[in-house]
Amino acid sequence: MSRSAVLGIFCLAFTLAAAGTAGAYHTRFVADNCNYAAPTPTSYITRDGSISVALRARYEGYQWAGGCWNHNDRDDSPGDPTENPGTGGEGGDCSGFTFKVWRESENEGNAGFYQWGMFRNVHGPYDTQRFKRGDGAPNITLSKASAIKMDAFSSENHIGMIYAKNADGTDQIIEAKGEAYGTNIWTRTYRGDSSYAGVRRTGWSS
Amino acid sequence: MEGRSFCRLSLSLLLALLLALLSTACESNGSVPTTLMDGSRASPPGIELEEVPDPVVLTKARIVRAEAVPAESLAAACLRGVARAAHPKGSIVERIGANSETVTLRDESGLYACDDSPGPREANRRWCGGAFGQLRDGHLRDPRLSISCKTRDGDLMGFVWIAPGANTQYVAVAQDTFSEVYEAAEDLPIRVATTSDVEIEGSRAAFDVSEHDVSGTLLRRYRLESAVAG
Repeated sequence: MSRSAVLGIFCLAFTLAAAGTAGAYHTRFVADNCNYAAPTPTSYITRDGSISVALRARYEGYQWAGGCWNHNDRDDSPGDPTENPGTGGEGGDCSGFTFKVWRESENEGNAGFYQWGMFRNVHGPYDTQRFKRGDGAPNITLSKASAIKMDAFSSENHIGMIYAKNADGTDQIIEAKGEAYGTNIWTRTYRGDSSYAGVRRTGWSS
Repeated sequence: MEGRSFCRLSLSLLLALLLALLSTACESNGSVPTTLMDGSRASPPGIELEEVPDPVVLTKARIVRAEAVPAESLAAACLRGVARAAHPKGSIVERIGANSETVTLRDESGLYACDDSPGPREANRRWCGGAFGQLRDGHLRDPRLSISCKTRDGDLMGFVWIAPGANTQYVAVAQDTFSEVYEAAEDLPIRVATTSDVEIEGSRAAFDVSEHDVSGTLLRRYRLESAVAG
């Protein structure tokens, strides 16, 4: 077989393989690392404790309808196609991240606290619109002026939790922002943005 | 003795026959909806949809213009409720199914849905659920599953948007005991409901869907797996 024929076959094989891959994109992060273990009920959660939970997800990426993450300070599945729950990548989306940090139950009528492991792949029943409305037993709306550390601001399509309040009226928000941004802390003006509402998880011990 | 045994046997047979008849009657009324959620009569579509098994129930759809929303309409209730942040443009589609009522509208920021069912809901709200979906190049990338509504019996229901194909006139969604059919309208995604395959654990739902052209010919069939997200 001539060299050009071999090259042609190779190129064809590569093209076919790439085409197949593009149509079936996925990472193995969820499949290889995550579980569906039951959460641990707890009667005591604090805002500072939840900040510690949230910080473990910092730098860990973003996954639509996710999720689960490790704690290696890097996105192990960067650049996933957006708004695709089937990509199986690392991280939570904004509402899933909030659900997990707030230690909520998948049963909307249950306001109790449930510790979800980092590797437990869970999103919960609330999207951002539902958090904004204060849906579910654990969630209530509140005036943005009253919002403090580990309360959240939610719009129709995004939610972020307060990490700290700045002196100038802005807030440091810890949020799963999007595939291009991952999960991190940014200074935001959500408090003064009319498209955002204040949301609180009920029952903090402190 | 023989006479009494014969009487007992006759009575038992009669009772068994009566029970069988009652069971059949109840089953035929209980498994197939006879009314839609607004109380109107449930009926099949006027044409046969290829490979959609009987019984089939056609949902109702009503178009409302955003600039002239009747005060007592479902659209008005949606704009006072779940979609109060919306500034709708163009057409608003109200849909009534066997166990669902929905409103779909669009504004510059995206799509809004208001979902309702006959079941219980938090704080006795007008709408038991809803959704917002951003449009990317005019299209939804995610069907925006909501699982906050319940049936009369308290079972979870799932609602999603389906974006019908270019030639699709009818979308059929398999339910437990019948097929529910929606007509395409105004180039808006169709908000559909299911009372089966909804999982609280995982916050997921699956919909068995078929799409048909104006003559009922099957265009495509698929299973839509959806998860609460965003």
